[in-house]
Amino acid sequence: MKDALKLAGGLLVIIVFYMVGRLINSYLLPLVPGSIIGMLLLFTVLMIFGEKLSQWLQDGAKLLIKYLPLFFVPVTVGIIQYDNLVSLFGLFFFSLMMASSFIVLVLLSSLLERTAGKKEKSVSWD
Amino acid sequence: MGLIVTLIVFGAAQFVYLKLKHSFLLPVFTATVVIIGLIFLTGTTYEAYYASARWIDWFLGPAVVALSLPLYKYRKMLFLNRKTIVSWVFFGAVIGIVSGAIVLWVFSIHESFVISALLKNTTTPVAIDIAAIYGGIPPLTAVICTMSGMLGAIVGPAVYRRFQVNSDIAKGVAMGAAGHAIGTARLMEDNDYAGAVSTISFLLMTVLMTVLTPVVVFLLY
Repeated sequence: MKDALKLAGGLLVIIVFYMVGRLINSYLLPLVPGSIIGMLLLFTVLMIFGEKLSQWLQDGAKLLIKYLPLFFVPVTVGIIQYDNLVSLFGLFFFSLMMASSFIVLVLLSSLLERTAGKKEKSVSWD
Repeated sequence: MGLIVTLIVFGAAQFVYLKLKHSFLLPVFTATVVIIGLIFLTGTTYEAYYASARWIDWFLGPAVVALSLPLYKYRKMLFLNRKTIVSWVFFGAVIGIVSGAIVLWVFSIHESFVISALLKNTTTPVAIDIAAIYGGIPPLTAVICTMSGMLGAIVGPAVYRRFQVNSDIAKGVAMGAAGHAIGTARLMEDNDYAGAVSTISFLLMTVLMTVLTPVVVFLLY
C-alpha cells in the first residue's frame, strides 16, 4: 500500500514538473521543449532537496524510464505515411541515415574505450 | 482502439523479449512492425490509428523529465568526467553531420531532407520541434530519429562485445550520441551508470544539434 502510494505520488510529481515545463515553454522559452525544461527544473530541485526527494521519486521515475520505448511507438508507426519513400531514393536515404548512426556508435565507443575509457574518473560511494 | 492495440501489442512484445532476451526483438521495434501490419490488414489509416494512440505520445514528456533522477544519482561521476563526455559528444556530432548530412548535400538532395538528417541523433520529441522551426520535415525527422534510436538499442550490445568496449563511459557516450533516449533506455536495462552517461550525452547532443543545425544549413546553402 505504501509502495503504491509512493509510486503514484512520484509519478504525479514528475508529471507536474512536465506540465510546468510545458507552461514555461509556451510563455517564455519557445525554443526549448517543455520536457527538457521540466527535466532541468526537477534536477535543480533535487540538488536543493537532496537524497530524500530522490528516494521518494525513484519508483515513479523507474517505471517511466522502463516504458520510455513504448511512448515512441505511435510516432514510429507514422513511417507508413511515407509510401513514396518506398523507392530508390527512400532506400538510399534511410540506409545512409542508419549507416551514419552506426558509424557514430562504432567510432565513438571503440575510440573512447581505447583512449579516455582507460583513465575514467570515479568517486567512492558515500 | 489504436491506444488499446498499442498497449496490448507492446505488452506482448515485451513479454517475448524478456523470455528470449534477444536484442533484435527490441519491443519498440517488434511492436511497431506488428502494428503497421495490423493497420494494413484491417485497412485503417494512420490518422485513424493516431487519433487515439497519441495519448501514449504524451508520456514521452514525463519520461524525459524522469531521466533527471539517474542524472542526480550519478552527478558526481558525471561532473568528474565532464571534459571527456563533452568533447567526445562533440566529436560524435561531427561524425554524424559529415557521414549523414554532408553526403546528402554532395548528392544535391533537397535542403529539407538535409535538415531532417542533421537531427537524426537527437531525441525525437525535441527533433520534431526543431525540424519545424528550421525547415525540416517533422514526421520524417521523427521516423529517422526513432530508427537511429532503435538501431543503437538493437546493435549496441553486439557492437560493444565485438569491439571489446567495457567502460561505462564509452558505452554511455556512444549510445547517447547515436541512439538518444531509446538507446539510453536499453542501456539502463542492465547498467544504471552507463545509462546516466548516455542521458547526459544525448542531452548534450540535442543542445549541440539545435545550435549547429542552422550553422551547417547556412554554410551549405
